[in-house]
Amino acid sequence: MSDPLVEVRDVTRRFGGGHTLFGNPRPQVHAVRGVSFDVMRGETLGIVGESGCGKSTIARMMVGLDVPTDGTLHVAGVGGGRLARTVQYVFQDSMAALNPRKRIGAILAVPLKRLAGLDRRQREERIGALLDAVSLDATFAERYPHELSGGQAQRVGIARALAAEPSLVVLDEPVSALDVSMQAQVINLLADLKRRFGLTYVFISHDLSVVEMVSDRVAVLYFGKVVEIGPAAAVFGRAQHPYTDLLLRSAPAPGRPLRVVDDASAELPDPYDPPEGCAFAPRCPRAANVCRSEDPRLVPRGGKADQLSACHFPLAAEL
Amino acid sequence: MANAGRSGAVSLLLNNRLAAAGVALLALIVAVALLAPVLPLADPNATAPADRLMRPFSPDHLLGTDALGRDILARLVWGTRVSLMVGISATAIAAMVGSAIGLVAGFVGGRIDGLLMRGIDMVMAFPYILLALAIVAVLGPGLLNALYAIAVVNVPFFARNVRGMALGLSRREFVDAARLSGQSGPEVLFAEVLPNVMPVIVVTMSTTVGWMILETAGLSFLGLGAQPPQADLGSMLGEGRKVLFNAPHVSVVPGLMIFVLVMSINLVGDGVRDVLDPRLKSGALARPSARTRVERADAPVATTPAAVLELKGLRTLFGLGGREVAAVRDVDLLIGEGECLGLVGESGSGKSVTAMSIMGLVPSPPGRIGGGAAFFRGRDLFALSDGEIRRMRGSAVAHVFQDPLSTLHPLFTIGDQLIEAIRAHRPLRRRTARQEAADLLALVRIPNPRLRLEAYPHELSGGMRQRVAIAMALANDADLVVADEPTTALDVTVQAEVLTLLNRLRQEKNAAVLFITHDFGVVSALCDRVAVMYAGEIVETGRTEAVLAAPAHPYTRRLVDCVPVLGEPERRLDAIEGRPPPPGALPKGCAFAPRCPSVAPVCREAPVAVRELAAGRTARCLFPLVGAGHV
Repeated sequence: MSDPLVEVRDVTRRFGGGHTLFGNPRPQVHAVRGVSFDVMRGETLGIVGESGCGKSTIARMMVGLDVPTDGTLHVAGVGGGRLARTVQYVFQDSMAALNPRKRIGAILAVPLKRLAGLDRRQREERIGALLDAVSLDATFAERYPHELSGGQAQRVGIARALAAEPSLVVLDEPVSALDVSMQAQVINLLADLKRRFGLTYVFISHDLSVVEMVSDRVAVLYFGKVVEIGPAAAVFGRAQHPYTDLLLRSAPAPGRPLRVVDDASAELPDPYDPPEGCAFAPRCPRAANVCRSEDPRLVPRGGKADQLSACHFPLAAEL
Repeated sequence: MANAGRSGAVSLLLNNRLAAAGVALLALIVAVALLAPVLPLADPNATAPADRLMRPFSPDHLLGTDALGRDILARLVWGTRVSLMVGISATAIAAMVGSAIGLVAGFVGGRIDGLLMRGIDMVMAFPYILLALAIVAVLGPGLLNALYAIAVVNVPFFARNVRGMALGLSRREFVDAARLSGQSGPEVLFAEVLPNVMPVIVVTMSTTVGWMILETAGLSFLGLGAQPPQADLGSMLGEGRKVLFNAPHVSVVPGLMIFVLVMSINLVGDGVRDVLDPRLKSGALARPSARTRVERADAPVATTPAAVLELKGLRTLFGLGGREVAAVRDVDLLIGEGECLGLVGESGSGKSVTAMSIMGLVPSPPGRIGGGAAFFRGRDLFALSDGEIRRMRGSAVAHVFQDPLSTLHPLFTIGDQLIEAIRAHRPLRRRTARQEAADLLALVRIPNPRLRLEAYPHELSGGMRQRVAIAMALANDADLVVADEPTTALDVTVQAEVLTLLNRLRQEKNAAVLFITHDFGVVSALCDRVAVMYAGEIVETGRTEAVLAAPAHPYTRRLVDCVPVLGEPERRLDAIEGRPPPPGALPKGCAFAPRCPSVAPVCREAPVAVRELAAGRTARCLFPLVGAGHV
């Protein structure tokens, strides 16, 4: 790992807000509440979190589909706006991301024409090569999206992302809509492509086992903030934040009995009115008064320089 | 493919008998109108006062003459030509302008959308004929001005329809994807959004063109459209009005023509709409019956009457474009008292259809039970009357589905729905039922149950809604709970809670559970036994630990191997290459043979029967990976 390809600094994103015609304030959703991290060239950064934690919003901001309310986001030194050439995106719902009225060939031709500036002949050659790279037959160029299975549609989505030869690919739940056998095919394909084209991945998922498998480093998001970030082995092996620990204990795994892990009566934080202290405090078994009044900073804890967590009472620190 | 699709649409249109008649009639009218200059017709504008008001079928004048002695047949043909041209041009103009407004409003959104749509609202605020009259009054009478007026008053129809569609499409992911592919806003609008809006535009055009011809005729009838001596259908009708009593044919002939023309256009328009409208295509108007149709040659006999549920040779078929395919084939399952059976398989393997078949919840048409039986405590469910099945649904056998938001009614509080579920099966007083509903919510660990009875489904989180669905399934002490992927849509921490809850409840209430999932982790956490499905068949059954530790069927083996396991990031996923066979094109032998790593020629020759490897352990494989000794 060398220099950072992506630098995210204090990014926040709020939706809504402002005032109505009569001056009343509109409610504001705090989707991302001050997130900073780097993605190193050539690594895979996994981002995990549950629904509503802001992981998709961060992904959309990284590719330029959305802009931060505050903070900066640089990819290869370039900030905001036209990032398309260097950053591409793979959608969760692969089928919805393909125009139902266009052939696969026509869909793949767009980035080749607009971003790579290839002429017709070159485009046709590249489409064949792209389909080949994602192990699809060249005849797929003539097909329409509805003729594809979910796994094939996701391969086309990956091929489209690779068309303009980006350096960073943001994968937003790329396999969670797929069947397990298709999921394994796509995960293996992504690993191969990364090696072949020297790509950097940001891999977003709610599935911990998938993230653990593909990631070099992992960031755990809770309620719009990074609560823990570090090497995958460290985060999954010696979690510092109680929320990471809760996630790990909740994931069902073959041969592991169920354990009651959480108090269902605990109220989840309100995105319209974020709490003052740690957002996880109401669910946290270790919460003390300081947790409810003071939001812990994301700093290295437990004597490790590369594993950061935002907790006043980190777990592994006691070990 | 596009051609195939298009010819498919045309043949669909012609299959509709009314639409086909409309097409034929309209084609005839259009052909005659187009050929007007070359047909041997009299001059439509040549007056002959001596021949005025001749009756139809007179020599030289097939349809008679009007008050100025002009040939009605000639005027009819030329008039139809004018009316058609005006109607179609007005439709085209209205479609272009209206669609452009709608596309821009829906795509750009925000202030522009507000501005454009308020303008459209203002046009719609006036009665259309008044507005048309006002426009003609300002511009002056004349065919062209009438055309403009008609076009303007019809713009809102297109604008509103197209805007709604464009609004939805602009937020679709393929539009984001097109932007990321480097397309500019206008390019996205025309290359991505417009083709998807086109069917709506075509449908709106086909259903409004007849209307516009009528409106043109109306304006001409009032003398504001075609000016004498030019003939169009409306002005002919207007002229005939003056001699209605002594020469009715002068007005009846153009009147009939208007009727036939508009009728044929409307028939074609309805047909086009039926072909293109996705809602009609999906069969939303076809109402399936309340219970799956059962058509089986012979009913098997229960062999284990003590079991809560026994499926024997279950076969569920679906009608697909004229032929029937078996989604579930010869499924045998056994669930004992208080037992949890996990039914595992990938999408399309038939696991949900199996579960839905039990209580006759497969929609008919297109589905039907084609063989086998489901025994509930020894009683053949497929042989019961509709009333008996209805009484058993929700009481003896309860269902929990993947998405509770779609199974809970959005307009009733969860209290109302729970009370209804309780009282549907037990004659309790409302107050007692209410108390019981609150107890149920407490049972599924919903905090503040009395308060939550008043909540609507949308006010609860996904995990809470699924708890309510489980509470509803438990309302009448069901002996069997069929849970179809109940935790797939939930976050992991919520999933863990719901699974823990389900496990505790089934032990407390001693209910048997048929748990459908694709997740081996969930299966191992909850299920006593597991059955693996592939391509509509059960390929392996056994105790959960035994099957997971040493799968006997190669498919199970591969399925276990291709799932990433938390805590084992180093292992390389062993993906299963290829895809499952479509139910309509199954291989002759073992369905898994084309993807199986240990396939032998004999596997492809004939269907493979289920073999018992040990007590309670079966596999549908000629070369099981574990012998009898290993189980």
